[in-house]
Amino acid sequence: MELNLDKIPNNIPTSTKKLDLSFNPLRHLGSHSFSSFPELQVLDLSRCEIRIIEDDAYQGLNHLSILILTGNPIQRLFPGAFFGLSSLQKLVAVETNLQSLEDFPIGHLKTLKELNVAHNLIHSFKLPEYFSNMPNLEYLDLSNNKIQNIYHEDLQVLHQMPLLNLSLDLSLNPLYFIQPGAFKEIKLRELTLRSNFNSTDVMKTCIQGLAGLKIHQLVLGEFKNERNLESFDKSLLEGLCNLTIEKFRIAYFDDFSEDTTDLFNCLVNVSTISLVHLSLKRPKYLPKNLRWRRLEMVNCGFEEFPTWELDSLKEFVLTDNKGVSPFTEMKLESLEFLDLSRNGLSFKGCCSHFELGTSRLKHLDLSFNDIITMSSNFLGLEQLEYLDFQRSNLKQASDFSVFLSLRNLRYLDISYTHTQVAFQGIFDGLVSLQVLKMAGNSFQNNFLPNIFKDLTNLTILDLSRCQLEQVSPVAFGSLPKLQLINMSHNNLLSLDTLPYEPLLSLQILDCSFNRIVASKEREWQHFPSNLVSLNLTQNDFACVCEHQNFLQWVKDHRQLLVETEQMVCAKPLDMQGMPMLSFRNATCQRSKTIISVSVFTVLTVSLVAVLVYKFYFHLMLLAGCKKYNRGESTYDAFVIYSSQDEDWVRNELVKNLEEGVPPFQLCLHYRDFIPGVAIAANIIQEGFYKSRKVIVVVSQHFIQSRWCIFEYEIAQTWQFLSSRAGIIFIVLQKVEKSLLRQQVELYRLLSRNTYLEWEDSVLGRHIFWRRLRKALLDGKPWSPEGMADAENS
Amino acid sequence: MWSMEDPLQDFGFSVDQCSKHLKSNLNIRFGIILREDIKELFLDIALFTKGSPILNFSYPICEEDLPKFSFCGRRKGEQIYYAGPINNPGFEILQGEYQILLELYNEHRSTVACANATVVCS
Repeated sequence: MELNLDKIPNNIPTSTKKLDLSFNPLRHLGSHSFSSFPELQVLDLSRCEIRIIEDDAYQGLNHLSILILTGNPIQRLFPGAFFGLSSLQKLVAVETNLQSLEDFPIGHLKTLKELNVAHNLIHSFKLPEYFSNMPNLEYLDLSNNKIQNIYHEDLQVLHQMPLLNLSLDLSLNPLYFIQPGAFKEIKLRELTLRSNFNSTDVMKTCIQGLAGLKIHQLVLGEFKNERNLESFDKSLLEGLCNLTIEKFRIAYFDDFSEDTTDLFNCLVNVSTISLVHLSLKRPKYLPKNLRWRRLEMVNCGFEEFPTWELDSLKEFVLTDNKGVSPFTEMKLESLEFLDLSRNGLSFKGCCSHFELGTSRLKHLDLSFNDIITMSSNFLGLEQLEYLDFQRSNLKQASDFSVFLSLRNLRYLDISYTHTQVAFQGIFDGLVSLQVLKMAGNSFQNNFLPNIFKDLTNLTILDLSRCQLEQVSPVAFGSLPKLQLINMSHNNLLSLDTLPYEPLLSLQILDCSFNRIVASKEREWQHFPSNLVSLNLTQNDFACVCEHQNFLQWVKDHRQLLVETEQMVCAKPLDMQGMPMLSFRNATCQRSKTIISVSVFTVLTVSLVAVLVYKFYFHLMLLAGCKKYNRGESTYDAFVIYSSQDEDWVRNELVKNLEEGVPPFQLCLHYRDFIPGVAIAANIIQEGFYKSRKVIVVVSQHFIQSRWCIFEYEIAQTWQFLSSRAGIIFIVLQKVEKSLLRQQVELYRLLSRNTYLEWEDSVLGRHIFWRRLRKALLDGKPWSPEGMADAENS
Repeated sequence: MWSMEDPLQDFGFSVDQCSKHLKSNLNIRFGIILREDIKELFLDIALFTKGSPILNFSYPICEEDLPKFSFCGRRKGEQIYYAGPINNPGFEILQGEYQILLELYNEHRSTVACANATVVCS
C-alpha cells in the first residue's frame, strides 16, 4: 500500500509470504532486491514508478507464484531481470510500456500459467519462440495493444508446441488483417475478439482468416463504450463455416441483424451458443437442423416469447428480456435445464409438462418474473431437482400440496414470492429436498407450525424476514440432517431453544436482527451439541440481573457466537448500546448481598423478638432481679375464690403461676392459713398483710358465697387502707347480670375496668397467663385509675 | 460543461452538458488510476435534497462474464479513461440544491472511487 517508500523497508519479517508495495516510488529495482524474503509467494509492485529492473532483481524468490508490475513506466529491463523465479505462475505486466513479447526476458519461466500484458504498446502478434518452453501456459492477455496484422509465422510456435489449453484475449486491438491459413490446424481453448474491427468488411475478412482453427470457445463482440461496427449482418459469420467451434458467444453488437434465419448457418454444429445484449426483438424462424445443446439469450430485447422447436436442445437460458410476457407453451422435448429468470413473465398456469413441453426437466428457474399462478402440482415434471421462484409473485402456492410429486427435488427457492403459508401440507412430498429458501414470506398469525414433516433430508433452511413471532416447539421435529437455519430479521421476542433441540446435526443458527430480550431460564441448555456458530447480533437484549444466568451463558459460549461486539444491550437505559459482554455479574451480586443481609437482619430481629416475647419473664427476672424483691411480703398474691372453683385454682392457677417462670408464691387458704386461728384473722394476717396483690376469681359460686364476698370486701378495705395492693379480677365464667347486680360494687367495677377472662382457646389462655403474670410482676397498683373510678362512684 | 478533480484519489470527472432537462444520453468523461482490481464493479448512487433522500440505487457496471464496458477487468495500478455516453432515463431537474453521493466498489466491497457533489439548479 501507499506509504511513500523509496526503498524496500528492512523491518519486514523474513517469513512474509505476501508483500504489497504498490504505489510507493521505488523507481529502481537493483539486484537481489527481495533476497531478504525467501518465502514470498505474492509480490505486488503496482505503480511503483519503476523504470529500471536490473539483473537478478528477484533472485532468491523461489516460491513466488504471483508477480504484479502493473502501471510501471519500465524503460529498461535487464536480460536477467526475472532470473530466479523458478515457481512463477502468474505475471502481470499491464501498462508497462512493453513494446514486444519477443524482447520480454521471461523465456526461462517454465512454470508460467498466466501472462497478462494488456494495455501495452505491442504491435506484433508474433508469439515468441520461448512459448515452447512454457507447456503450462493457459492464459495470454494481449488486449488493448496495438496489434493490427496477424501473419502465418506469428503462430509458428504453436505448431511446434501445441498449447491446447491456451486462452487468448485480443480484444481492443485494431485488427486489420489476418493472413488466411494463419490459424490452420491450430487448437486453442478460447479466443476473444471484442471491439477489434473498424468496419464490417475488415471483420468479415479477419473472420475468414481464422479458417482452420479448432477452438473450444470463440467470443465475438464489442463493448458498449467502444462501438466500431456500423451494422452487423449475416454475411459476417459466413467465415465461421471453416472453423470447428464448441461454444460460440457473441455480445454487445449494437445494430444486430434482426433476421436470424440464415445467421446461424455456419453454427449448426456448435454445442453451446450465447447471444448477449443483442437487439433481436422478435424471435424469427430457426432452421430445424441445428444441433445446439445449450442456447443462452441474455438481454436480447425480445418482445414475444420464442416458440422454437429445437429437438436437440438440453439447456435453454432466456433471461433479462423485460417485457417478453406472457409465457406461451414450449415444445423442447429434450430439455433438462430451463432458465427463464428476470423476464417479467407471467404464467397463467404453472407447472406441468403440458406447458413446458418436456418431461425431462431437472432445473427450472422462474425467478424474478411477474405473477405465476400455481394451477397444478408439477405433473410430468417428477425429474426436477432444482426449482427457483424467488422474487416472482406466486399465487395459490399455499392452497394445496403444490410440490407433492417432486420426490427428486433437492433445491427449492420461494423467497420473496408474497406467499402466506396457511396450509400446513405445503411442502408435502419433498422427501429429497436439501435446501429450502423461503425468506421474505409470511405465516398465518406469524406462527411457524410444523410444515416440514416430509423434509427428512433438509440441510439448509432460510426463514429470514418472515415476520415470525413464535415458533412451534415441534416445528423442526423431523429434520435430523438440518445443518443451517437462518431465522434473522424476524420478530422473535425470546431465544426459544426448545424447537432446536431435535436438530442433532445443526451447526449454524442465525437469530440476528430479531427482538430477542433474553432466553427463558435454563432453556439454553437444550441447544444442539453440534452447533458451531450462533448469531445473536442486533437484538434487544435486556442486560438486567433477572437474566444474569443467560448473560453468563452468553459469556461462557463466546467462541460459539459471531460478531460478539455487535451484541449490544437495549435495556436498561444506562446500559443502552453497551456490549452485552460488558455486563458484570458483580452488580447482581452486590444487590444480592444487600437483599440477603436485609433478609438476615429481619429474620434475626424477629427471632430475637420472638425469643424476647417467649422468655419475657426470664429476662425480667435476670434484668430486674434487684428491683423485684418481695420486700416484707411473703406472698405475691392472695387468691380469693369460691371453694367450688378449687379445682381450677389447683390445676390451672397454682400450676401455672407457682411452677412457671418467674415463680410466684400464692397465698391459698387451704394450704397457707394457720390452723387454730380465726378465719377472719387468717384472711387479714396471712392473706392481705403478707401479699402484694389480691387475685379475685369471679364466678357464679363466688357471688353466691358469703365468705367470698366477705373476703372481697375486706380486700377492698385493705387496699384502701394500705394503698398498696392491687386487685386482679379473673372472671372464670360469665355471670348472670341479675346475680351480679346483687353485688353493686363488684358489678360497677367489672363493667368499668379491665379484668381477665378465662378463655377456652389455647391462644386466649396464652394471652391470659401473660397478662396475669405481667400484672403480678407490676409492683404498682393495677389499673389505679379504674380503682379511683370505682371508689369515686 | 462541468468537471472536477480529486488529487487524493487520482480521479477526474466531467459532464459535457448542464441543462435543466437531463438528456437520456449524457456524455461524460472520466479518468482514474485504479487502487483496486475491477473484475466486478458496482455503483451506488444516493441523491438528497435538504438532507432527505430522493433516490437511492445500486447498479452493476462490470460483471465477470462478458463485461459491458472495455474498462471492466482492469487492474489495480492501471489508468483508465472513459469518454462516452451513460444511459439514464431523461428527466427534468426541478429547481433546487441537490447532494449526490456516488460510490464505486468492487467484488470485495473495496471502494474504487467515491464522490460527494452538490448540484445547484436555478
